[in-house]
Parts: sequence; structure tokens; C-alpha cells
Amino acid sequence: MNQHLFNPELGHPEIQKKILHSIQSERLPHAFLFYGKEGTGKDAFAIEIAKLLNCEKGPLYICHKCPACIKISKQEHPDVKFVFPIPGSSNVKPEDIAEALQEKSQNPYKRISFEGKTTFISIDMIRELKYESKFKLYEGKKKVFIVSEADRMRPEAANALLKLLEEPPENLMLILVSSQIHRILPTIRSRSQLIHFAPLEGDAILKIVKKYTPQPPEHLASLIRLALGNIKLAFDFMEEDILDRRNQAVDFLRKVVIIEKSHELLIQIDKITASRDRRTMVLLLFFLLTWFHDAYHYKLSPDQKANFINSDLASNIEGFVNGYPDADYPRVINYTQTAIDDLEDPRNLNPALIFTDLSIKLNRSIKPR
Amino acid sequence: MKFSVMRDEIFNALQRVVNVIPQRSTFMMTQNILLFTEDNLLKLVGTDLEITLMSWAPASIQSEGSIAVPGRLIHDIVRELPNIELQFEVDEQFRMKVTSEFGRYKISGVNPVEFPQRPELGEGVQEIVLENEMFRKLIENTIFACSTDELRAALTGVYFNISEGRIEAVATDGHRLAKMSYTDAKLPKKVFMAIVPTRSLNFVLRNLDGEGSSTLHFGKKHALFELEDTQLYARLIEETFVDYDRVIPKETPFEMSIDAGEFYASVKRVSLFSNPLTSQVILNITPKHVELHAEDVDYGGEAQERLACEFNREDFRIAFNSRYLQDILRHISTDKLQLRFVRPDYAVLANPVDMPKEEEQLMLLMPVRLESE
Ligand SMILES: [Zn+2]
Repeated sequence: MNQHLFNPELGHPEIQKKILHSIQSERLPHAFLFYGKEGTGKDAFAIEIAKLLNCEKGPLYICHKCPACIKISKQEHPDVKFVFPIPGSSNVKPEDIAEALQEKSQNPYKRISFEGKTTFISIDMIRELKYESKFKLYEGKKKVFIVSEADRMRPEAANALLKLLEEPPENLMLILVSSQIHRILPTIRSRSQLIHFAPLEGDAILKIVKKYTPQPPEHLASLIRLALGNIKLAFDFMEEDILDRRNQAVDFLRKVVIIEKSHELLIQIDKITASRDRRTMVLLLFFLLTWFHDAYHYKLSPDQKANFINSDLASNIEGFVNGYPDADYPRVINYTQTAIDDLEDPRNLNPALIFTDLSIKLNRSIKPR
Repeated sequence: MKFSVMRDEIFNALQRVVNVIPQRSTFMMTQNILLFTEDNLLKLVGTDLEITLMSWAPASIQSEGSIAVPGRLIHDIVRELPNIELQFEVDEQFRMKVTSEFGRYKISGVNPVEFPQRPELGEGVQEIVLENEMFRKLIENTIFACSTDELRAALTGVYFNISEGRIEAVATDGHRLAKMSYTDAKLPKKVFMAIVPTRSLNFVLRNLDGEGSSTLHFGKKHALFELEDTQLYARLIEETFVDYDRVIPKETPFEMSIDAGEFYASVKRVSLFSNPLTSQVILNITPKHVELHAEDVDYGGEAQERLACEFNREDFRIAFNSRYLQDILRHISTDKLQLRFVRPDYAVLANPVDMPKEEEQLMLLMPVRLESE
């Protein structure tokens, strides 16, 4: 059997081999569902599949040079569609979407963001795919429709997509991508071939980040470490003042443990949720999570401080662990993760409520009676 | 790339091509048109990935080449110029300079490699030459019956069925069907079929001259319609068309023939009084007359007319949606028409009488259930 990879830079060698094998044995499914944690390179992988199936040197090889490869890289191939959540259609112009696509084409690992606006995949977007699906191929060998963050489809959009999955045209490959697979309709899941994406190795992330960042920041390694193997987050970090955000997280934690001064905590929550940008709120909780991971780590093996995610804050974390000896870290970590998931679900309308609820739970688990 | 061209010549071509540029699209490359030189002509291509339209202008070419440039911009500049000679020059960075006696305009273009490829017809193309008049008839007498429901994608185009020296165009939306065919010994004997989307055919109608002939090429993915000043590529629909012969009744015991013009005029008048929700018009047919009746019970309006006809049986009563009935009558071009029935609740056939023998036209309409009286 052929053991080569179609793109070594892409990582996930096992998945590459699996897909090459399905192509060779002519058992390619009509639909894939790529799932796994955020920032594992699923979108980038899906785009490479589109190249693999359309490259003039394909279908087991990607040349990166032929018109098909170039057009797919630039998001300009008539037979390849990339759909992603956007703000309500009244809030967004085609040029904005084209610009977002352009950014995605420059770096497929980066987050597509619309300045903190709530985004979703509307039924109109799926209808466009359905319309497109009725035609014969324009110039390629296989139509590839990629639905990124497929969990953000509106229910009516998901139902429309289901119709496409029920009677898939022969010339179409549908790739659904999600880091929240539990929010995908079971009927959609059961009609797709599921492929799990594990986090990328630190080395692979470093290589990718360097490829797409001509002048990487000095503290690149610690930044990637802080991103916990989430490459999307690593690129987020390069754009934001992340240390500032982390200070805010530590500040929040300080107020949480002295909940007796609840007034100050509420002011702090107001401040955090004032921007309405859920991304920054999630980021704050994310740093909290890294803090708890470090604390738990220290508690279990106090002699391995060098492996801290927040290695620069080692003494603060040490002080925290010693100050609250009864803290239940697995529980604390679980609460924080749940709060992150809740924040990322646009159906939860009140972020302040999520933060208040989390504060009470954290306080009780860090300082049990 | 370097050429000069007269303003009117290039504007004529630009006007045709710019129409295809989509108003709203996230696929920004389609906002461009492709310019290239070939056979001493400047050729222009616009596409929305469904319809690709190519037109051309005679030009004096100093050096060959190609470029993609923003379509509406170049169209708008040329539109505002009088009929003078325009000089075009493109550099290696795909910047285009247009010079006239008024001054110069610089336009940033794009590498033409990034422009969607011109559709390829591939091998085994079916080529058909048709008089424009006949081509127009085939489209116009069928396209009105196409479905607009994207869930029935196969029905959103006209089905062209070619075989045995005969080309047949068929459209249906499930309630009605329109079929028109043309027989000519010069047509190919091979069997071939394709579904052409309605949008493309509307573009064909817009660009089709009254006289002369056109060449139709049917490839596996695209069809190419070679018209007088335009080549139009239509991306075909992938699905399989319905088995329409099955729904056409083979025997129709009740047959009525009537003056087509009088009948159409009468249906139009009577329909004005039908209930706007049902648009129902009722025909009471007797051996020598047909009585048309419509009524809007809610508003008290009512209309009744009596026309001469020939009917082969005693009494027959049937109801139609008047808008669908008018659609059919509008597409009868002969003096006389025939309506053929099986039962009041069964598909009705309509056809012109005394058509030229190489032409055949048939329409089918489902009646509506008679409102209870
Ligand atoms: Zn290639």
C-alpha cells in the first residue's frame, strides 16, 4: 500500500493515509464530518482534500502549482465552496464575506471573525449550496463544499443540509467541520463519515505558525504552549495583547475567592461582559483554565514547575495552591470548561449570568467548608 | 498585450458581456471580465459560473495577450466616450492603460490564470444547426412551464432530447407540461439529451437575432450556443429528467376544436371575474358550443360567455386554473386549436391544428377540481 502523504506539513498522517486509501479503493464517502477540538487544523485539512480531488496531478498527490490548486488556495475555484458562519445577512455585505474568505485563503488556520458579532449559518447559505449542487461540474473533477463550524447552522439550515445529504449528487463531496460535534443533528452525523482530529503536535504547530507568520514574536514558544495545542488560539494570541487578558483573568480569580466582597466581583463581571465580545470572555476563562491546570499539576507533583503552561507565573501559582489547600481542581477545571462551552453557544443569551454562576461554583470548590 | 479598437465596437461587446456579471457575489473574480486576443479579434468573456458569455470586437492587435479587469468599471468608462479609437496596453503586473484623445485611464487587472476557465465541451459533442426562428420557438413554447422549485432541480430547466433527426424541447413543473419538437433530416441521428437551466435560455433569447441561424453544441457539462455576435456557454443541470411520456394520455375520447384567438380572448375576459384565490374558470362543452363561466362568490362578480366550437361528444364539464390555461393559449400560434380530454379529473392535452409537418407542439394541463355547487 502507498504510504506517502499528500501534504506532510498538514500533520495528521493517519488521516491522510486513510483518505488516500479510500480514494485508491474507490470508497470515498459522499460526506465527511471532521470533528475534534478547536484549532486542530480541520478547515486547512478540508481545503487540502479539495485540492487532492481536483489537482491536475491528483487524486493521490497535490502539486500546489496547477490552476486547480492555485484557485482552491485562493478560494477562487468555481467547484469548491467554503461556507462559514456570518452575522445576520442584513449586517454583512458580500464584500465582507469575500474579504473573510480572502483572509482564510491567506491563512487557513486563522479564525474568521466579524468583530465579536454573533454569527451563524443561515438557511439561505445552505440553499445556495443546494442550488449549486444541481449543476454539472464547472471545470474541476469533483465539487467540494466545506461547511466550517457546521454546529452553527440554524435548525432550518441543518434541515436543508440534511436534504442534500439524503440525495447526494455523484459529483459532490461534502465536508462538514465542527469542534462541537454534539451540537450536530444525529441524522446529519449518521449520514457522514466521522473523522476525529486530535490536537496537533507542538512541533507541527510551530512549523505552521512560522510558515504563516513571516516575523513571529520572540516569545513564540511560550505563546504556543499557552494555546494548549490549539493552533487557532495561537494565531489569536499573536493579534491580541494576551498578557493583559491573562492579568484580567487572575484579577477575576482574586475577586472570586473573596466572594464575601460580592459587590466588587459584580463590578468585575460587568466590566468583563460589557464589551459583548464573547471571544474575549472565552479567552479570559481560557486563561483561568490554564491557571487551574498548572495549579493541579503543581499539587500532584510540586517538583515539576518547569512544565507549567504559565511558567512565568510559577511563584504566584505556588502561592495560590498553598493558600487554598482544600481546592478541588478536577471539579474547578470542569466548571470552567462548561462555562466556556456555554459562552460559545449563542443560544445562551446572558454572559453575565454564566460568569456569576461560575463564580459561586468556583468559590465553593476552591474553599470548601 | 497591446491593441487598439474603436469605441463603438468594444462597447457593443461590453454591453452583452457585462450583463452576466452577478450583482451580489462572494466570488469576487466574477466581477471581472476576461479580455484576450485571438484571430485578429479582441474577445471578451463574462461569467457568473452558470452562464459564460463571450463576445468580440475587431481590433488592431500589436501584441497578443490576456488580462482580467473589473467589468463594470471598464464598461462605464467606455460608455462615456464618443466613437473614437482607444489604445489598450497591459504590463507584466497586469495593469491596463487605456489611452484616447481625451487622456488616459489606469486600471488594475488580475492575472487571467485566476479567471474561471472557459467551459470545456469535451469529447463527443453534439452539434446542431437551427434557424433562429425555430430555436426561439423551441425555447419560448416550453420555458414558461419550467418549475421554479429548487427542490425539483431537474425541472428548473428545459430538457432537450435529440434523436433520429429530431430535436425535442420539454418543460414541466408537475402541473403542466409543454413540448415542442422539430424534425429535419439534417439533424444528428444520434441520441443525446441535456437539461439547460431557464436562466441561460433567457439569456439566449435576449441575444438571439430574428434572422439567420445558430449552432448549438451539447457537451457533457456545458452547452455552447453560437449566436451571431455572442457565444453563450450554459452549465447543464446534473439530474435526470422525469419520464414525461408516461404522463401524456395515449387515448383521448373527448375532443374539441375551436378558434384559438377567440377562445384566448374569451378566457382572458371571463377570468377577470374568477375568484382570485382559485382563479377557476369552468368550461361547459356541448357539440356546437362551449360556455365559459367564472364566479367570485365573495364579491358577487360573475361572467359567462358562449363560443362556437366542434365537440365529438354530448356534454362535458371541466375546470381550470385560468392563469395556467392562458399560459397555454398564449403559446398557440395557429388559427385553430384542439383540446383533448379523458375525464374531468385527468390530464388535458392542447395542441395547435395545421402546424407545418416538421413541427409538433403539445401541451398538457391538469384540470382543477370543480368547486362544489
Ligand atoms: Zn495541482
